[in-house]
Amino acid sequence: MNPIYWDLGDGIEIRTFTPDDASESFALVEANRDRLHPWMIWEPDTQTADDTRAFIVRSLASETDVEANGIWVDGRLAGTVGLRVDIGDVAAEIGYWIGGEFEGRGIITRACRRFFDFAFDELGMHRMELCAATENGRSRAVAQRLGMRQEGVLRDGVRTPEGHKDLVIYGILEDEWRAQR
Amino acid sequence: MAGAAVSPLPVDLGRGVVLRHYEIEDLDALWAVIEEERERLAVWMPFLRDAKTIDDERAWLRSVTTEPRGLGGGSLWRGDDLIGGVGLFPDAFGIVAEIGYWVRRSEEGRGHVSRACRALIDIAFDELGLHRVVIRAGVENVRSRAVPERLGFTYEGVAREEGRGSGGFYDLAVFGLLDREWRT
Repeated sequence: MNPIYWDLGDGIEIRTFTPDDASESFALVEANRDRLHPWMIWEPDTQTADDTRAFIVRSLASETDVEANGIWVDGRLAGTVGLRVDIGDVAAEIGYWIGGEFEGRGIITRACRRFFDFAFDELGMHRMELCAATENGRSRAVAQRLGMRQEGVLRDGVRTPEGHKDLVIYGILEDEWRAQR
Repeated sequence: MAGAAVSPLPVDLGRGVVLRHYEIEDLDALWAVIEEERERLAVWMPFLRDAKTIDDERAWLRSVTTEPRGLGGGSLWRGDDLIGGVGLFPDAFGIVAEIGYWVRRSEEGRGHVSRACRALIDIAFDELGLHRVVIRAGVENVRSRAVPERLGFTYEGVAREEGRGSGGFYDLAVFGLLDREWRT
């Protein structure tokens, strides 16, 4: 899919990673391993900037997804956000993480809002989905802030470096999103 | 990954029904069933929107018969008669697989789909080493929901309006089964 570039204001920018961003992106992983380890299966497998580069290249090759995008705050990489379209083109799922230094400022919520607009208005999605481990309170708070509805708990729905964990699934429909924005 | 090289089919499901991979030669049989049951199946099955001509169906059949083949193209046969389809679709990480299915009206209510699912679940856990199997069925599709309920799946929630059929969007009930539950 075409790369994106959005200026969200207040010094926050989102743009699709290119392979040239691999070093900066990997450095952010290195600085946040303790935060990522409980949730992200790819954390232990991300050992060099080449691993990050491979992820970016793979993402860029996708015809449907825009998985690898960076969030920059005042020119510094703060986190990652991306979107995967489900088979059937009805729904897309959003995923994200942010460096500890940038947490608690609503940056992820703003990034998700922009992605939801994009998914509903430009990709024609009918529904957006967000999955978070049951015990990941901060991630779940994002879904709640976005006005999403909790729809179920997928038992052992995600594998993390610490083992399988239950996954809460949140959903929001296009008319619900339009009604609240 | 996802055990692409594994090919434990065909499986004899009993009662004269065999679960085997589709072959490209099955195109005419498959197209005949689709034409005959299109209206009934399209209520729930999104793929029928993309199967407008026999060429569409040939393209799909190619995709599931190309090596290395997975288990996405399973078919149910009574002799030379195609009576249904089942598929197992593992995720990219080798953790979860989803099963989907349909059966001809004339063969409904005989447990063929449940037996086919059992065979695929055995393969998913024992041969592919997956941890979890998911079945999603329209909340109002009582016959379809009965399959995971019968097989001991746990109802985990409703993905609102994630299904799309000829009548529009519909809610999908999500059912999950873990490897340790299947073994007991």
